[in-house]
Amino acid sequence: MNISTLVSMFPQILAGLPLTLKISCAGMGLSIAIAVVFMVIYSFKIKIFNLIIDLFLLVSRSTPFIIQLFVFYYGIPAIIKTLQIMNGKEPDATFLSSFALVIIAFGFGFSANVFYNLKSALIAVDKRQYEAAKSVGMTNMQAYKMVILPQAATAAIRPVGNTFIILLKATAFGFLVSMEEMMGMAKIAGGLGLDLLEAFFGAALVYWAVVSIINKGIDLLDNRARRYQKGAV
Amino acid sequence: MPFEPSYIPVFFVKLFAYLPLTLFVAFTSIILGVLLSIAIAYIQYFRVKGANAAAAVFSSFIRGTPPIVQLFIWFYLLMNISSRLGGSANPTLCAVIALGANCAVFMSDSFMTALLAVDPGQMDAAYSIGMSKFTALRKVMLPQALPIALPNLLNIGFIIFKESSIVFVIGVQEVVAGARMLSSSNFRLVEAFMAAALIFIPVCLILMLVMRVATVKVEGMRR
Repeated sequence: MNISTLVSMFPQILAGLPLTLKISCAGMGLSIAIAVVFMVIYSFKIKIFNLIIDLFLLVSRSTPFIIQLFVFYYGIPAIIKTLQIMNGKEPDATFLSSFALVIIAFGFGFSANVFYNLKSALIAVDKRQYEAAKSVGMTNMQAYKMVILPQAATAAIRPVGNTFIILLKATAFGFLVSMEEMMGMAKIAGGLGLDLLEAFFGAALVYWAVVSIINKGIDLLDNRARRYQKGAV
Repeated sequence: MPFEPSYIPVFFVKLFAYLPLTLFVAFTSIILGVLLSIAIAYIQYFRVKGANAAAAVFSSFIRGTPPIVQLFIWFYLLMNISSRLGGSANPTLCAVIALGANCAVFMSDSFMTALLAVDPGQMDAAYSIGMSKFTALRKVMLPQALPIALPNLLNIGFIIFKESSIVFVIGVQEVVAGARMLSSSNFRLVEAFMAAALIFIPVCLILMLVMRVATVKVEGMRR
């Protein structure tokens, strides 16, 4: 390992960081959105919908993310083109950028994690809180909005934050589908296999720093949200 | 290239030939992970001087970096070392080391929380009858900690099993590599990867069933 090579590569590796963060945030946003929609649908307890969601969660959880990424990245354009051909149109799927395809894959792969995070956070709220809210004359809606959800949100910060970190680390697969995120840039910086060790180690250091900062952020957020639990009666 | 679902079962059958290597990599990594994690837990539980700080840095690094990056680092590191010695590193071995190290860090945490849940008086009792630290950990603490840690350990094993699908990037011929190879001549990438996903689902279902049964058994034991 050559330290000066490593240092000289940092600017190029860091150039991939914005895309890494962009994929992470967009992917997390979509995952949370899907998970929340599923939570709401799930709460209505309609058999057929719950079955579909259960099946979705099962497939999402029991297949490696890397395969999901490949299936969506290559599969969505292929299926769109097949449908277009069947309808007698010119096959064209360029309206979906590769960034969009990657984000859809992340949404599929990580909404299950977020769903379970949110579900356990809701369960973590004491049932008596709901009864207490009802006893002071709150409506169902008010009880959820003012009593249950704030507590569930507090309980969800850490697990959802952990899911975000796992997702951020999974963006390193981006280079396999020609995304020029940090790993992609590291691979380019590493050249023709001559300095790949330095390049990947450099990328690892950047990931390590980013994850450490996010962990710190989660700690701060969690502490702040839990203020009401400290020194309470 | 239009999507042709009829290729999926064909690939599915062919991909079974690659499943043994996936299982081999996953399970040897998990076994290595368990052994290493006990060592890390020992270091952390007894706060072994020097080693404790090293373990903390190592664990923070593994947690803070993507597994695929760790895999590449181990691979190129071992390649560099072995080429200096005049040989070449075995990709499967590199994969097992990388996944095993990853597994060990996450498992050591479960072991630590479980060890801390065991009454520390047990340790004093073990000392009082003349056991060494290591014997006390092995014969008194671990048997009590294991049932507490088991559900977590199985979950980590499940994650490592799914993670083992990344090792094709360093040239290990497992299921994903098989899917890439089968589709390279006819460009049926989508169908091949769907078949690969279908291979993982039944294995994961079995693992989830094992996890559920073990968790229920353990709960029963602790009651």
